[in-house]
Order: sequence, then C-alpha cells, then structure tokens
Amino acid sequence: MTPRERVTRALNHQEPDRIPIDLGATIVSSIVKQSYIELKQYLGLPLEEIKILDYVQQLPYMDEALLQRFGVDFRPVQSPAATAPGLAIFEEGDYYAFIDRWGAKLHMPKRGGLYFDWVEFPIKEATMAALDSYHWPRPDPPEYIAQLRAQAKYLYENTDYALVGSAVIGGGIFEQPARVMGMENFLMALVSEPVFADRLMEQITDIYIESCNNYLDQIGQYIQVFVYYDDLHTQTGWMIAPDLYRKMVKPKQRRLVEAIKKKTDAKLFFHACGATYDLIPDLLDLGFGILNPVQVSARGMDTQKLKQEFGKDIVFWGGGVDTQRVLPFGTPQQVAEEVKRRIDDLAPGGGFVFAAVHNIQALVPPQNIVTAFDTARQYGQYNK
Amino acid sequence: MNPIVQAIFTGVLEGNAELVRQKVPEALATGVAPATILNKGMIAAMAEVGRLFEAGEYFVPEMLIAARAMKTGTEILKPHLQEAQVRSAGKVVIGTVKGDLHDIGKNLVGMMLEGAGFEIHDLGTDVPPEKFVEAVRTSGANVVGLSALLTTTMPGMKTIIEALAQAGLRHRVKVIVGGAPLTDAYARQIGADGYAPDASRAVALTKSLLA
Repeated sequence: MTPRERVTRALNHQEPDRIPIDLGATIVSSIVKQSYIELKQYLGLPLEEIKILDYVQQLPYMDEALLQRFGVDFRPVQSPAATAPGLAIFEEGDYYAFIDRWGAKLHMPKRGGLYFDWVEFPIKEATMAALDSYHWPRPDPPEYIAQLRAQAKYLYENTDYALVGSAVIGGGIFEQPARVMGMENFLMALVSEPVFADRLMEQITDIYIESCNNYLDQIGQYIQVFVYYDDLHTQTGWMIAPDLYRKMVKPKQRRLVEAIKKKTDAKLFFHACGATYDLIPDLLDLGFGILNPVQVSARGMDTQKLKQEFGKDIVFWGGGVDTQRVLPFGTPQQVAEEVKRRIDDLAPGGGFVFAAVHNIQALVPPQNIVTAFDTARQYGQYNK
Repeated sequence: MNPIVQAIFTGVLEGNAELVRQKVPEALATGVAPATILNKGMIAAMAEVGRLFEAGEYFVPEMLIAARAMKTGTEILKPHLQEAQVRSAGKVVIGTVKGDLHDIGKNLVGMMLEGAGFEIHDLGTDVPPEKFVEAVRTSGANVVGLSALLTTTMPGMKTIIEALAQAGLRHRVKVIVGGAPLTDAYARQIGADGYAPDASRAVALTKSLLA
C-alpha cells in the first residue's frame, strides 16, 4: 500500500495496512530546531544546513532521510504562516527580533530562547480609525505560489506521499487579531467593542479567502489535506463563551470553509490546542474532517471517549503521545506504553493519524522520540 | 448596601469601567469610607467574577473587562486609601521565568490577585532568577508567583526557588507556580508552596497560604 493510499483510507475511516505517521507535514506537528538536530545526531543522519520553515516556532524543513527513517506518509506544500518570504531578522538588545507580515514585532531571547513571541502590536486602539489606517498584509505573490505549485506537482507525480497544504497566512480568524493588537486587548474588544472586533475578523477572513483562493487555484488538485489553525480553548475549557464563539467567530470560519471547499476536495484539518471536546460538533457542522492536536493532557480529552463519541465523524490527527509530560520527562518504556495506549484508543476502524501532541519541543530525549515513532510504526499495523 | 457602592459592585462585575469612573468619586463625595468602596464595591465584585469563572459562566474576556473596571476605580481610590492608611492583603511579586515571553496567564493571575486586594509587583516576562531575588528583598513581598508556559522553561522555576534559598529569603515568602505544563506534583517536587490551575484558584491558594 502506498502512503497516499494508506492516508486516503485512514481519512475515509477505513483501516489501511498501518496507521499513517506524520512528522513535519504541518507547522503544528513538527519538531523544533534544537531537538531536530539532536535527533539527527542520535540517528547518525548527516547534518545538512538547517533551513527554517517557521521562524516563530523555530521549525526546520525536514530532511528526507529522517522522514523515511520514521516512515512518514506526508509531505508539506506550504508557505510559512506568519512570515512573508524574504524576512529580515535583526538584533535588539538581549533579543533577536523581526517584524511579521502583519506589522507586529516578535522577540526571541538571544540566550536560551527557543521561540519568537509577539511583543509589539500595530493596532493600538480598538477603534475604526485604527483599522482605517492599518496597513493590511498581502497574500504571497504569484511567483511564490508558482514555486509551491511546481513542488506540489512534482511530489504528486513522482512520489506516493500524501500532500498537505495551507495558505492561512497568520493565526486563525480568532487568533490573528490577538497578534495584531495583543491578546488581552482583543479579548476585551470582543465583548466591549463588538463592532470593531467584528470588522477586524471580517477583514482577516477576506485576506485568508484571497490567499487560499490563490493557493488552491494552483495547488488544490494535488493536496489531500488542507490545514487551518485556530486556538479557542485553554487547557480547561473555552477561552471565550461558546455562545460568543458561535455568534462572532464561527460565521467567519464558515465563510472561509465555504470558499476553500469550492476550490479543493482535500480533507479539512482543524488545529486547536487545549480542551476542545465541546468544539467538535461545531467543527463537524463547519465541514472540518480532521481534529488536531488532540491534547490528551487537557480536560475532557480522554482518547477512548473521544473515539467512542466522534470517531465515526472526525479523524484524530495527533494525540499519539503526550508532549507535555510523557515525551519530555518519561522513560522510553513509558513512551512506548503511552503510544500503545493511544493507538488502542484511537486506531480501530481507521480515522487516526499518528503524530505527537503538537510540535516536539526542545529538551526531549532523542531516544524517546525514536521510541515513539518506532512503536507507532510497529504497533500501528492493523493486521497484527 | 449603599446604592452607590452597589453600583460600583455592578460596574466591576459587568466590566463597565465608565460606571465605576462615575460612581467612585460620587461615593467618596457622599462620605463613603475608601475601604468600604474597595472591599464592598470592588473586591467583593472581583470575588464574584472568580466564582462565575469557576462556574463556567464567565470566560477570559469577562474577567479582563472586570479587572479593567476595577483598575479604573482603584486609580481614583489610591490616594484616599493611602490617606486612610488602608493596608493591602499582601504583596506579591510575579513574573514569567527566564526564556519565556508568555504573559497572559501571569497577567490574569496578577489582575485577580489585585482584585482580591493584593499589591502586585509585576516583573514582566523572561525574568532571570536574580531579579526575583532582588524584588523580594526590596519589596518586602510575602508571596512570589512564577509563571511558565513551556516544558522547556518550567525547570527555571526550581532555579528561582534555589536562588531565593541561597539569598536567605526563602522563609520570608510563599512561592506559588502556574502555567500550562505545571502540575501539583511538579510544584511539590521543586519545593514550591502551591500550584493553581487558573487565575481564580490562584487567589484562593494565595489566601490560604497567608491565612
């Protein structure tokens, strides 16, 4: 069975020969630079020059040898989300800094820093005047999309991998406003300046639709999965009232999904961290078929219960191994037990893609990573 | 309850900063004691906000606008409280540990503690251990709140607790910890005095540690 056939079966809720495996198909199922280097050294793979795909999270482009070593069934065809091509990184005191394509400034500590985080925001006030004078970003230029198309076409015609795309050039419709005005200011505006918040999210949606249309017109025919991200939850539940989500945010997500569905048959992937159990009916209603990262350590994210209640309707992509406790701090044996437990819960009947919960962070023992992926590949055979 | 104080309570509870801005001077002008405005109007309202949050009726935005309304009131009230020699419930030094730039969780804890009448010294994000030590030494704080979002920065909490011990300050303060990867077990393991899973419960924890 080829990887693409395997993935197609799994995404259609049928059992393939083994569980499909993901590492690095998305910027939420990858591995940070530091752990990537240590992992390659541990496996004795040659260290080529590291190229960064996602600057914010410090995620490298994956080396083909590593993907083959783990039996990864996917290849990404995507532009970096937060950063426009040709990004300049500069120094500012104790920090590395850059300005993202939305005009926000990010910092990463020079010493011990592992990520960039947003520290300055272009929209200072929750007013219509601030939106009028805001310099909105543009989608990727056509020549950049043409490069991605060439890559997608090549991979589609010359390899058997399942292809994963995205063209959301920022955080989600709920998340991105926080990155242009600060999270606290946006959350307050949602309830105290709803007209402003509504327009901000509508304009972000407009940009995403334009960006997705440009991408999908060229690449939609080649990809099997299309990725969208929107973190709406904390580890214990909704960050905002569910009624407020359904009134203010969900209609915009629906507008985006409807635009995407006109351009591709790819299965739609929704990434949302935290306690997302109560969100699943909304995702199904919107037309998403895949939930990621299935944060098993968050409240209510019991994999057995999730599979029982929603396993026929939604594909679980992630949840393969807890990345908050087990993967960084457990023994290899505990990692193997955790992976087997999650496979027992999530794999029956298909509808499961093995990936760690979110990106593998720094300071994770390489032996644990290898154990996780090797266990998934061996224990994840359907005809054992 | 005095109707003006009642209006201040409602203003904070509903996040109506404008109402609080109007009513606090009105209450002062009619001779309501500053401590009454603070305790019965604002701190009581923030306690109700915490209760509604824990009950799943309030979410982060409602908590934020309530804290903003309270801040509007305390800024007006501050000189009057000083004059009346009203003391805070305690001094808390908070910050996100070295290498970590995340601040929303820490800010929410700071707001809710402030809402409960504590005085907050917020050191910001990416704070090195020596800055925590220095802040405890100079502020006379009785609580230190440490925040970390990441599995990679969380071990820095232990370093801070050790630095406080080395500086001979550990016995003077209670150390509370919070953040996405934290657990009660981890808090105990690194020698912290307590862990809370959210901002509202951080208030209850702090009060119980100082009781």
